[in-house]
Amino acid sequence: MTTEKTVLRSPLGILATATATHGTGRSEGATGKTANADIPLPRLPGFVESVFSPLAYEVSRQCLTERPGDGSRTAVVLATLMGDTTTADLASRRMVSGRVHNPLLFMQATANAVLGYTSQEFGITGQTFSLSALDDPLAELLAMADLLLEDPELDRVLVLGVELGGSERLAAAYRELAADSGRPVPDLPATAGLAAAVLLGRPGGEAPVPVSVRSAEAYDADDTGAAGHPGSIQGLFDLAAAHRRLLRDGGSHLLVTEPRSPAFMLTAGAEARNETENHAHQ
Amino acid sequence: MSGEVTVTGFGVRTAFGTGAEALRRGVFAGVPSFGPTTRFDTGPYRTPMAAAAPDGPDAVEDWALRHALAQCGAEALDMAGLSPGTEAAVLLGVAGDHTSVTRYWRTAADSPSPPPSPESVPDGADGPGGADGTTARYADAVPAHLAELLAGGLGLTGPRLTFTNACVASAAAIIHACRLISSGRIDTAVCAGGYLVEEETFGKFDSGRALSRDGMVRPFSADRSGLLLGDGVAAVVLESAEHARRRGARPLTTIAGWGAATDAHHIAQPHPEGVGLARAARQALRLAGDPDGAILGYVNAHGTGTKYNDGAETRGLRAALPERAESIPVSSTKSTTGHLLEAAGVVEFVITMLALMDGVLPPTAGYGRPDPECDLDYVPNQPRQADPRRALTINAAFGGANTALVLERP
Repeated sequence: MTTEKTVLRSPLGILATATATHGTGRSEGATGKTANADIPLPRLPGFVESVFSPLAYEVSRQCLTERPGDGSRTAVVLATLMGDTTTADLASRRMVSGRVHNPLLFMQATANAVLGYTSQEFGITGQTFSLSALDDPLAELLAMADLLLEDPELDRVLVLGVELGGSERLAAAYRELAADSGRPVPDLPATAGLAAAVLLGRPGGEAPVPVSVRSAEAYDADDTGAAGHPGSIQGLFDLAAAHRRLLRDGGSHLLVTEPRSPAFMLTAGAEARNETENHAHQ
Repeated sequence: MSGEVTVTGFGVRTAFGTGAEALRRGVFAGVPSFGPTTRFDTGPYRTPMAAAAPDGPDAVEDWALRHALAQCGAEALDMAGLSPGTEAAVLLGVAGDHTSVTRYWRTAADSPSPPPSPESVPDGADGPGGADGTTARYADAVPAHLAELLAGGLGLTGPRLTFTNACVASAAAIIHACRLISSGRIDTAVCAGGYLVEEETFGKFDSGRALSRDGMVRPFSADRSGLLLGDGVAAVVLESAEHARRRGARPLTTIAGWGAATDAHHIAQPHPEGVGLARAARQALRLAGDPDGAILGYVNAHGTGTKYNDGAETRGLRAALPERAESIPVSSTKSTTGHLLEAAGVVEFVITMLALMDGVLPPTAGYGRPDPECDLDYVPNQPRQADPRRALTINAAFGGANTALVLERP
């Protein structure tokens, strides 16, 4: 991969983060619920069979509820390598076995459907996009937010990523991608799902921004180990975790997403410690 | 906007064939390309009809999405006078090659062990083989992988990004390129999109009772009964005007404005008043410096031929152009090409560009009786000579996403 990565032109402010996992086997830690423990799957009217849309909605809901804002000035960008593969495989297997298609699977067949649901629930009339990101979804999402926030009609961008475990068909596709790139094949249970969301704005905007993601530094991480699997959204989980640590401790932190990708500098602002109090009481 | 965005090349392929002449013979003559498709068994479905290129000596040799994208991308680069090795972004609107999903599960159903990767079987023995000797693989279902293949095949070295937001995907790719170029981040982008008729999607639309009952797509007409799917692949080369001028490239058109907005209404249905579409169109017109659409001479509508879409779109256009909607010709070229899904944005962008270049407005074919809900000038059934300086092309998608692009003749 020789592609040059886009870096941020201006700092982004983190307004809220949320993560959710289901079916991964992660459980509560000895001292209570951990940040990344599996959650019961939220019910989402009109969406069936797959964890994709419920998890995407759950992390979006958490961010948008924690930091309500003007939906007409909010954009949403969803990154997912292969989309809702559970729905795609279910529909395909029904088809090849001669069974009739399920119209509900038609409704939820694109990742856009859950964005429509989220936009309806939160009155979001700004732009919504869904992306397939192979190399570094976090870097793509932050670059997209950086670009969108240059639009004078937007104040906030909700970025989210979703990743599913899945079928042998999915594994076959991953093996081919891994053979092309030398990256590992993911090891997620078939029914597992991961989602993470970050609500972004510009520091100095209307809302207080306790943590800024600053422009990337030149970074060479050849010695930090192997890259993640294609389409991994681990960077979003890392960003959410770094955000939580900064709210608690202050200071700054270099967020490394993928080797040879931009590293993002996070800096805690003056409001960070008050924000910690808010989190403690939620 | 700090930098003007121009178009310097395109490649396009539909059920009519390859290139602009095929579009002129079909879309611009108002000749629908629908027929019973033989690409898969349509027996289980309510209709066999689609705008899928027929098999035969004149048909394109293979129908793997990766090859169709590569062909259109190469033609666009060639027209633009750019060579492999160019620093250009590749921005794709595509949902992946669904035939690889079908192929996997059909093979799995016939075998107790997991299917082998197609790369281990002879070319053409399992899955569509291509002119470059490679075979479509299971990874072709991954949208971002197709962008990598396209960029690699064209030898382009810029950033890559794949949009998957259904029927606005390739329009979103173009809008993203406009933002990257106008903000000075990049000079050149190849924006492409593709959808080729296949059974996975056909079956889903059939189950949703979205397909036309009479084998025709009749947008804005009282007797419309739904959409039909169609083959569509296109690529366009976008460049900053300054970059094109420096290398002596001739701009085919300028992109004067763009916009995108969401309905906040429903996961699959458009807002009945077309509010998101109107907002996207107003954004694009404002950016183009013509908020009232005073110099707009044509609108290429989304016009799916469904009850839900066409009335909502008409009301959205009236809201966006309160003083001008009735005097601007509006047509839906899905009446001849079918619905191209993720490729609709870029193929209709090319059609809109040809309308500006040729001074001919493509008609809305299959138009029968007027619908009181749809009360604009839809260029019914016959092409129209015109001399538009600017045109608007709009698209809408599942999830309530809407896009708008304003094109201007140089």
